[in-house]
Amino acid sequence: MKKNAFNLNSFITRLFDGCISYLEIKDFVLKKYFGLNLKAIEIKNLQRELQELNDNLINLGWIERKKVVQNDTYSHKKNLTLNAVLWSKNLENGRVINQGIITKDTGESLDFLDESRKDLKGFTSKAIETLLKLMEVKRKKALKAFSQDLSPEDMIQEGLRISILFSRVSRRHHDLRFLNAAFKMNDWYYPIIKSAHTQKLLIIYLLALTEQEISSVEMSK
Amino acid sequence: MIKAVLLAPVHNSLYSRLIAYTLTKEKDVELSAVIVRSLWNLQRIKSEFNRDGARLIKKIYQKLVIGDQRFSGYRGNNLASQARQQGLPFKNIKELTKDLNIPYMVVPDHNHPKSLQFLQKIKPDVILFTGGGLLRQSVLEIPRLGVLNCHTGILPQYRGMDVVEWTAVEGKVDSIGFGITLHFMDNGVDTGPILLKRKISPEPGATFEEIRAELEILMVELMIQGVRGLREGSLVPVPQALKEGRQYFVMHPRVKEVARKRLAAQIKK
Repeated sequence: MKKNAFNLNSFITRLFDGCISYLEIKDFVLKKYFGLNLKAIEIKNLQRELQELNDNLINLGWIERKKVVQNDTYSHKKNLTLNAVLWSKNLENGRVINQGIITKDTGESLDFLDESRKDLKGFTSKAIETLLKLMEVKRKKALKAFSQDLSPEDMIQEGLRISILFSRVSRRHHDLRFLNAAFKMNDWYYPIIKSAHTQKLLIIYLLALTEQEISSVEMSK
Repeated sequence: MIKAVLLAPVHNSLYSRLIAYTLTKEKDVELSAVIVRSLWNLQRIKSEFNRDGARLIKKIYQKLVIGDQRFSGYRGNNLASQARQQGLPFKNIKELTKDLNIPYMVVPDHNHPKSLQFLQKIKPDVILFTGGGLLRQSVLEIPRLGVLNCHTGILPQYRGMDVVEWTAVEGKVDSIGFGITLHFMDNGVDTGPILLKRKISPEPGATFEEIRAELEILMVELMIQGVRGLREGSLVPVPQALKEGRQYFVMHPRVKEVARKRLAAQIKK
């Protein structure tokens, strides 16, 4: 009887402690990546993300060469960072989260600021820490409302950008708490993206998964 | 004489039972009541599901079906062996309180008005928190001295959840180490003033489960030591230097896998 209870316990632990495995992620990413329709009109504004996805896949050793013809999308980063600075200046009460509601563009803007604006380090690190706490405490609920009315697809995109931010912050600052949160967020989005998605969301999700895996490689060193 | 009330997370918590039982034998300490959080409460299930997700089913199974047997496969001492050594005769808190004639109450939540009224009537000197969710200010301000909590990690460095695993994954086993911290609770998560700390040195090959089992025994001892210190007036609460630490959250299985490997490497030395 006791032995049966322990066997069941081990089964339940495997069942409910489970997560998406590395192999499942790799398989999913490659399958979806090679199935992308790069001529689809909806992804014309995602050249930077596609390029980053390509670079990540090469860095992970999952592909050998780029699928997309490289163009100079990184040069736009300077403008995007300036937009992020402007975004930070216009925040309500100077905060990214007001009464539990995340401001739109938080993930992407904080990523640009954290990467290139050391002068704003105090603001950025405090905002990222607050965001981590909100995500960990409220979990999926935190991603159900933003400072502007957004479509369900845009809300997922906002969430994925936060996951990308967390994976990158984890690498930049050697803080595994952020990769931990990114793992959880990408697990939440997996069944959603797997069952139904647009090309745009798929690219951002693939980028989020590869960012997570790159940070995971760093973590294991 | 010091008046204490114990707050328990579930009716069969071995940790709560051991503390309650040990307290009743302590000189000049009166265990004035035990308040237990009811298990089958929709609000509780919702909030714990929100925090733990599907892992909640595992937790419920382990608490209700496995119970005290969870220690069976562990090496070394654990709460179950401690209970045997002390001859703890009670299978649950209700039995213990009935036999020892201690007021007992089941509440949906420790912050529930029923719980508040009960505590206000008792006017305890100290509350011993042994689990069961966050406590609001209205509860925290009732006892004359404060609410004691024993945290399974070293404060101020490691606040929050799964801190045994976080200590290992961050490579801090040698510098900060595994241990427990007795502190007064405040509105933050493990941020209240510190009373006592205790460290352990795990044996090479020890697992997280075994380290936790060893810490749990010390937690009972430290709670009792804390009550004694407060009774004698020999303990001085020291505010935490919060900047020296961080808050940690439930660890994802993939990070936990790395933590296991790093633990083995660190305590092999």
